[in-house]
Amino acid sequence: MISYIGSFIILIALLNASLLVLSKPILSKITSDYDSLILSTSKLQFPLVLIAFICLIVAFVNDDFSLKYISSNSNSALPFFYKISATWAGHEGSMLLWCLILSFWTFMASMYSKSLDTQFRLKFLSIMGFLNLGFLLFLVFTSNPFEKNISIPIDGKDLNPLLQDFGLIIHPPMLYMGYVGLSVVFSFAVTCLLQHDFKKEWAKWIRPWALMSWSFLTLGIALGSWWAYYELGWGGWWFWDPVENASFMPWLITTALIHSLITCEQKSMFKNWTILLSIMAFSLSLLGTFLVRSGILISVHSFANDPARGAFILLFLTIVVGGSLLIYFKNSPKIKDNISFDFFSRESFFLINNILLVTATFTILLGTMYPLLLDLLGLEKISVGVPYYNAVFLPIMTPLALLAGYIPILFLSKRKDKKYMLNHLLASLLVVIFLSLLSIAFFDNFNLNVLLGVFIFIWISFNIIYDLINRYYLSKTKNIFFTNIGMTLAHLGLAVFILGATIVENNKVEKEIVVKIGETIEIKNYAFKFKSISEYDGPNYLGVKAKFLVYENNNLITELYPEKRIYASNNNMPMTEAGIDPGLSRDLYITLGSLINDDVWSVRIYHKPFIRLIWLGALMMVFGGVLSVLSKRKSKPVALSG
Amino acid sequence: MKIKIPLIIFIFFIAVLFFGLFIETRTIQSPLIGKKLPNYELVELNTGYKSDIYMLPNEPFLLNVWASWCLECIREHSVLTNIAKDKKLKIVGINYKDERNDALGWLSIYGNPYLYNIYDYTGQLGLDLGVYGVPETFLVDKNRIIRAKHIGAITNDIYQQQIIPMVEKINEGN
Amino acid sequence: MKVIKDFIYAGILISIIQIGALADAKKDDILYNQMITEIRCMVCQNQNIAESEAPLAIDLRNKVREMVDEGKDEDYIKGYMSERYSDFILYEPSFSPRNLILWLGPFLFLFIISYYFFRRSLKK
Repeated sequence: MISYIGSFIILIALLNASLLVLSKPILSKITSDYDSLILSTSKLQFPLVLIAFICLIVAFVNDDFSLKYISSNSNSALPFFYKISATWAGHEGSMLLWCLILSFWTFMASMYSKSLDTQFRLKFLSIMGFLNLGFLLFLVFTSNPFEKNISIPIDGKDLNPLLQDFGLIIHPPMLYMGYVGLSVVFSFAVTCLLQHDFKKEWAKWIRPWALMSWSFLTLGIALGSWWAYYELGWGGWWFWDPVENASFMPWLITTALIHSLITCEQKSMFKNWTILLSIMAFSLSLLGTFLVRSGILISVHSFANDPARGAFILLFLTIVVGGSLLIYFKNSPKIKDNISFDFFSRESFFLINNILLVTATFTILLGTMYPLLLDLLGLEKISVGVPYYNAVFLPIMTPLALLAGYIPILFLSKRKDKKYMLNHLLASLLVVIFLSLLSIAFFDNFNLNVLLGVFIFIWISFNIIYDLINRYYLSKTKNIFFTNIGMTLAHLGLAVFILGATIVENNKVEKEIVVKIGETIEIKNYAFKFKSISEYDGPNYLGVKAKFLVYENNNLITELYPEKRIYASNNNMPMTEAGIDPGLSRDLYITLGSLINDDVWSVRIYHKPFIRLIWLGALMMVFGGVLSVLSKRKSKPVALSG
Repeated sequence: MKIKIPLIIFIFFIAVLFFGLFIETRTIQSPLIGKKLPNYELVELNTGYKSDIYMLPNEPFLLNVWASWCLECIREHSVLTNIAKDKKLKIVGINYKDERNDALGWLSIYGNPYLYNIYDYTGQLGLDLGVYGVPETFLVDKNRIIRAKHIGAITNDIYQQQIIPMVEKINEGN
Repeated sequence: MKVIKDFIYAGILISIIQIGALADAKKDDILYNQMITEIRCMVCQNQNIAESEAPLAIDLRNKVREMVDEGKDEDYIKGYMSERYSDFILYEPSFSPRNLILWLGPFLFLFIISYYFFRRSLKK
């Protein structure tokens, strides 16, 4: 019953979205008040899709196996919370979640766009409506979560065990909030093109939206990385998997975008470039959807392979991206955009930032698509992974990281005093080099990479904090802390991330070893005693749990319980649950390998120094982004008019 | 003019994605085609006698990797039995990572189309042959050169339409 | 309850033979760990062999361990793998003419867009 309501509501939402797209002359025949129709339909979309979504959740909780999607993604033995999260664990449900989030952003855009010129606002909302329509059509025609089973199975197939996990419950919604939030930026940019203008005030209006999307993307990606680290059992936190890349590309472009928007807002420069970045950001998030859902690239994250879905998204992608690019090339010359600056200026360094970020994105795109290209040409298949990105991506990102510590200096030099800038640069450089060299004492495995990482960390944090203090002295208002804290925090987050990533990759200790019960393994000043092993019944799996006693300098500090689980639903492939003792300065990480004989197991024991800084850094970026949005909203409102 | 280049790039990109939808992504062409069979020192499954590369047929033959734990192999087995009956082509088996008793029991249930079986308990020969998805089948000529490889179960169609023509070509070539 | 151990056991049956090599795990840990994260699991395809629990991945891990213990270097191990399983098994694409665009493309791109932007926007 409830599933019929869901299906029905989806159809209503579809009609509602089509109303948004219909042009003014057609709609004017129906209603005399075109404007308020658009405004109300754009708001109505969200409650509609929300009801459908709730229907699906309720059907999951009630074990309604008459629905195909539920019978293949749930099971009566599945714990309650996973039944709820299973709603978005498969392709169809996650697409519904995508539509829900898109309608939410549409709602927000409709609510908070009063300050925009009416014509502009209506066009903008219509484009959002078009995107809603496209995704709903996709949902209904190729991936309907409310599709019925021909015969009702007694029980469901169960949720993929990898997804039965807290990290994976919140990872997709956060990521989608980011992906889909970019649709606001995209629609806005296209509207600017249609209006042949991109005003300073508009740049100011769109920046918080870009920042919010960016923050959500950052959070989503960080959650995914954290999940991979504790769940996949080999202690990696980033694998350059095609699907990770699919989320990283829009992130990089959005990072470029929030920087170029500053120039746009303050100097009225790079208008067209900013518009192009906005289009690219959303296009890449569409591309990501395509890559994940078409099964075109082999990936751990891929949903079931179905060419019809792939073809549909590709068609939609072609229309949206191709259409917006055409409008861009047709209309962008009409937007006045005088770009002219000195090499030693803020604008120039923002441009370098953008160039590097776009190049980084291009690198990932190339790395992701190249194997496919070779395959199409009938050449030998290849794999592109970690070694390639270490060799190509890192050299491109290093100057960017260095730049992040240099930009603040440029902010100070409003007088464009080159000599002052140079002195300042030299002074801070000396301090930072001195501090970096001091750090050698703290590492037992020191090399050039570590030195570079530590240098970048101190370089960014030193300059960015110095900059904040300096600004305070220049302006003498406390307000400066409030308006800059977001930016400062986000850049510090970057520095912390770089520090963590460098240290863990260069100083980790990883042992794969065979242990007998009662034996002790020593790594650094830690000792791991394999105490016992026992079997137990989980709610929907069988488990083996080992007990390790962990000693630091001969004092017992904790007990770790790495597990192996077998879910009947997963072809009896064993799953690994790592035992982790987290800590700011190091993680201790144990996974069970395989049983050798009765009480002898192969295990992996990892010592991962400072790995938590990776996610701490990411969280700082997230909070930085959110704080920037809040401080922008608090700062004096600018009258935005057409 | 300016618009043309980005447009071409865009169309090219979409075309790559579009055709990408229809390509088979899972099978990987073996780098061993055209190369000589690797050496091995293993025993025959049934007799336990030493078996090496010199005991292979002196004519083109199929080298079929199988195991009793492999479900697809059962499906493939009837096809192999037909090929053996056909007498055009000999089949040498590689019993891959299997328990001897399981393998022999399996053969007694489903019949034995093999000339003989090389017993690869550790999987080292499989590794040298780049085996990753049992069943796999190699077409080897009398000079012990690997001419073709098929991953997954052989079907009658594959036998009639791909293997037989290839064997004829190899024989003509000599 | 014995069942579960049997399942885990079954998957690794064959690797037991080479466990002797595993026990001596102390040396060359770094090369070993690097190699197993840079070799692709052919069965599961988007996992490295460090992550995968597929029997073949376990065999390959043991093979890598064996080669590392024999003192073989990175190039040897990579060569060994790609000779048998093609370049697809290595996460590092070879620096060959076929992959030239892949390796040089990003730097070419960087050069082109830098030139384009700065020529256009710098004050003369």
